Amino acid sequence: MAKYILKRILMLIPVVFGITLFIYVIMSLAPGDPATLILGADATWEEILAKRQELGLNDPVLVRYVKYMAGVLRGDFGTSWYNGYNVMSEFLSRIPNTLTLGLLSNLIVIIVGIPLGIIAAVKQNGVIDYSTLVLAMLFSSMPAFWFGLMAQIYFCLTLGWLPATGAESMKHFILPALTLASGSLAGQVRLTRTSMLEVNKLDYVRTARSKGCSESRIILKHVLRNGLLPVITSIGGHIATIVGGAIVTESVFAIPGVASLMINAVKIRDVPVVMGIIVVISVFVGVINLLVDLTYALVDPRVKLNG
Amino acid sequence: MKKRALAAGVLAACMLVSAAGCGGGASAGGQTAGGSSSGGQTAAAGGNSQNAGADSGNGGGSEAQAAAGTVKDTVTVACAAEPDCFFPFHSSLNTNMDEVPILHNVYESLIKLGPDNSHEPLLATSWEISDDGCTYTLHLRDDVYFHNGDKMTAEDVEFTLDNTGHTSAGMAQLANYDDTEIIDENTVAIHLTDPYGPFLNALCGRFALIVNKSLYEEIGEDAYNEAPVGTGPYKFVSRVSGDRITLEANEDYWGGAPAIKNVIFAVLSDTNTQMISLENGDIDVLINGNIGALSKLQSDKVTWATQNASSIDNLKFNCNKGPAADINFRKAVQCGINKEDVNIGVYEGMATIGDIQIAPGFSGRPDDGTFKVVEYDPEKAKEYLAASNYNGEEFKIVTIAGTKDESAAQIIQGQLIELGINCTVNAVDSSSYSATVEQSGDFGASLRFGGVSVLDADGLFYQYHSKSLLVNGKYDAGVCSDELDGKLQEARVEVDPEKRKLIYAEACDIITDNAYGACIYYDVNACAYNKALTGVVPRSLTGLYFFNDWSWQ
Repeated sequence: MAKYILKRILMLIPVVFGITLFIYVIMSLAPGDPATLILGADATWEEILAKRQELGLNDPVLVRYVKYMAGVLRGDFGTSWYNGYNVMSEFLSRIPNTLTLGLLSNLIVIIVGIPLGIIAAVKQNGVIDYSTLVLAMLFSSMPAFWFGLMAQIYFCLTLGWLPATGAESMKHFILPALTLASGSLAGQVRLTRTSMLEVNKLDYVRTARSKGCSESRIILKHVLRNGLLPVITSIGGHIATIVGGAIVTESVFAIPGVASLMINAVKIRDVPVVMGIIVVISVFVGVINLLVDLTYALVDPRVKLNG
Repeated sequence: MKKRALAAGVLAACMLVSAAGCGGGASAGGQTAGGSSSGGQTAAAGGNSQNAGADSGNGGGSEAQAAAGTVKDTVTVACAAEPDCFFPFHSSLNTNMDEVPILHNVYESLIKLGPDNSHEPLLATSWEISDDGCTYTLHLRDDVYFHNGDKMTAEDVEFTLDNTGHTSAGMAQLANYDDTEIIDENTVAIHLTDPYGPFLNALCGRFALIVNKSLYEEIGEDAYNEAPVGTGPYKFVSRVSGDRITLEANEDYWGGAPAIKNVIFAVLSDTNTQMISLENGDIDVLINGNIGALSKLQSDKVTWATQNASSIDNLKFNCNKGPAADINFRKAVQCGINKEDVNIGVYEGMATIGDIQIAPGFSGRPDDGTFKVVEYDPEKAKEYLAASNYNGEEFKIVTIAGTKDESAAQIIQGQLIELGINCTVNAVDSSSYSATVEQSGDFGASLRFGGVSVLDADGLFYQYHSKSLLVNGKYDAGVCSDELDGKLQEARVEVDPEKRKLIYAEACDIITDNAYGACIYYDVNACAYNKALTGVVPRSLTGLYFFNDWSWQ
């Protein structure tokens, strides 16, 4: 087990280097000269050249990349080209909001989605099954900006129960988390249902039934445990995308999170900010995937993790 | 069978609910479209107008005031883009208009720009200009202290201007600046190499915001940027990345302690969110609001006002290559654009239609009737097009995606296609825009609002003077006209305001006759605010608000 984890962590290193190199090259190939953009329209040609020198833009891309990664390995993520703020401290000041929003919405998806999916499978073709099907279609086809807006109008303007924007207290996160959850909730219900139904048809479940096991024992012990594997994969996928963020939701509810930081940085070619976030996201995704694989072993005794 | 019927029932019910939701939204939009046209009329009548529709419910305003109580001393101001540079003339960081509202309340300029673009005393109580226009003698206030307790003196003024006046960005505003001479502790003489017509305007801008010399020398530029210290009515308290900037009243302000004790600057990038927060009372003021959205606002607690802005939407042709290298083609486009339709489509008709590349209210703008104006004339446009060498090649308008300019470009595209021009719109991000316009030159015309910081006709210099365009090694529109260059330079050093206007009229005629550009309209600044708040006045210079003029009723 320990050997397996170590191996996976070591495999993460080339993955992170690959992703960051790819993004770095893309950023430097994108049109637009950062020096001109930073200095503005009034800058003289000499100043632009000096700025290019200062930012190291005259070096070949690979040299710049190696210099950048050397800094990252020392823990130095650099400062923004545009406003001079330290990339890591900017990131750290925003990540709590992003994590709160992401974890809260995933919690809603898990707590509501899995039980609903189980019920839909157990009562196949029943009222609940069809209702969840319809609701799933409805929610997954509603874009987040519309759902968020409607929720704001109803809960903030009409009822006045919840604040519309900001991230000061947990109360501020209720609507954004629901908005973010609404899209994936539907998928989660359907996925759980399908997976449960598939397992339900397998031989060992029939055997258990024929042995005279109680239905609740069959569902909870045999079907659920085996049916959860794809569900865990999908939850892992959702959690992995937390840091990349919910761009639309953050924007609609004016939550100062990582996604808005990154979008702005991409627009203005602020390479240190984009790269800093990409490094953290790629490590985060790698670790979450590792955790997902470890959870497989916990849930399903058939899965053996060999080093 | 029964189950299937049930499912169909549930599905139908859901459809019905969602359809009802959509229908409700559509009818609300329909109602407000009527309201917006009345708003358009008031704007056309006068530059600085209040929205008539939103003004009707005074009762609601007093209720809001009663609910707010008497202790309210905080104002939350929302803006779409985050201000992040707080040192007025940082040498290596990107500076832009988003910072203006913060800078002009934390720092103070020597002269204040009034609501009608007049010059009012601020740090300088009075000033004299020498006969040759090359020396400005300013008398400074004797009772001004920085937020850290240091007294503001002539030395700080000399230090600031010497630092800004010789940077390229500063030179664009404090043009022809030579040096500052300290006459005594409260008097400075600013020397110019040549006269510069709008120099007083420049002394109202960000490059004349006075910084503390001794503090700067002690802590340096970056530390100053993180904890700015000025003489203004508000002190900088904190910044939370992506969320808010907090200012607090400077109780020792020389002009008296401001009525509003705390100003919170919240970043709300989404237009719909801005509107909900306004109605909800989460924010008290929205600066640079979207006029389309504001005209649909239905709230008896909120009102909004507009002011002609300092920026101009000028369709600038690429006179070097492509179809627009042909003057007859340019002239066809020039008189083939129905500007009023663009105005209605983009600004609900509230902007002022443009005739020349100098906005009304700018000093140096020639009087109406002294310059040529091209009227919308589709027949004439077809004649020009027939006379040109145009044979259906692509005419590409490059603009910034997601902006009002993109909407404007799309309307213009439709109009030009009707004339038989194969017009396309290339909406890109700002980085790609500058790469296209300044380097590759792969475009037929560019459309991007041109904001200026000095409200003067001299803005033309940076748009059309070949020296300004070519020094940077930039491609730009490639207009190189010795005659135009001469006029722009002549107007710049002319001291007599009336003579300047005449020279600018000639310069504008050159631009119009050669069809170097087609000015679509002059932008509008809109500001929405809680009715219980008084003193909120939008100004021409985008983002210029003085929070110490504000108070709760």
